[in-house]
Amino acid sequence: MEKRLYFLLGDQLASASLSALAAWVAHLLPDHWPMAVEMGVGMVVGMLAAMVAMPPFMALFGAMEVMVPVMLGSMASSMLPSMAPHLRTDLVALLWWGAVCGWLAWGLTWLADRWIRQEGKHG
Amino acid sequence: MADSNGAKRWNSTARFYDLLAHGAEKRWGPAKQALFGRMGVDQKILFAALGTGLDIAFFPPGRTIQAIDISPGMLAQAQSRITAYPGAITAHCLDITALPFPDASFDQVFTSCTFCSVPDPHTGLAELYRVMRPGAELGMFEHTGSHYVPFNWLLDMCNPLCRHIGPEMNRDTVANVRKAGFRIHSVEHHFLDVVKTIRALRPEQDRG
Repeated sequence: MEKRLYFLLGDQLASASLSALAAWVAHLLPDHWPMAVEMGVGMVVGMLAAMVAMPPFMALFGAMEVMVPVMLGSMASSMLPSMAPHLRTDLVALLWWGAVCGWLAWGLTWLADRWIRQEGKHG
Repeated sequence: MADSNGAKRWNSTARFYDLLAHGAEKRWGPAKQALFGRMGVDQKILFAALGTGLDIAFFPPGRTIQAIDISPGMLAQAQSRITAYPGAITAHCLDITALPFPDASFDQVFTSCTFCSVPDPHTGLAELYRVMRPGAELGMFEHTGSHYVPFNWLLDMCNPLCRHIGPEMNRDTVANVRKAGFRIHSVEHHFLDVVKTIRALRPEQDRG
């Protein structure tokens, strides 16, 4: 389990900021589609945006394989504009909730990492 | 069959690879140092894939190592690190799936983020098996797919994009090592069940 402050903070920064970015990119999509379509397209576009913006964080904190929380967080945050349409008009709240999704994804990954490594699960 | 596409891809990355890999090297340095610290004195050692030679910093001094990489561009970047190493590293531009070394040539083989990028990992592992003497040790630092939802889904989803720019994200390298005939000694996880150190042995008795 990662214990170095540099990586602990860096992983949270990457996950929160790129998930906020994904939410922002998803909110640029049209808002007149059926909700399920909006969610699906938003998720793909938001995740892609987060992946495109990943390299600076990869250079600082680790390669693609440690960006799992970013993928998870951006997947969730990019569905926010379709699930909570009022966030489309409140950019600060959208970015905030996007960052919260990223931070929760980091927390989930951190707990899973601790569990898997303590149990020595799976080869 | 030589992996010319892989060589081209890594050649094009060679100049800025160190910049992109800075965080990963810092992050995985202690784990790599522990693994490569097993390189023995007076052992015949093969290292794959050397890349720009960032891993040389984690090699114990005074070892004699044959190192391979598919990309001449990466090996050119590695040259200053090879020269500075306080031991002997001989670098070869080779495809891991077609090694020119005789059977049972090596006592120890190490890999570093290698089998995420080899197009045919089964042939690559079979080649390593062939060039290792019975009882020889295989030490791998690799990233693989995950066995856990949602991490396995995420890695599967991003794999089509990632494989175009670099590594495959969802390989089951531990299973592939077993299939190649090696006996797994230990698997140590460094991040989820994705980044790991795998230690295996070529059994003294060959596969039937």
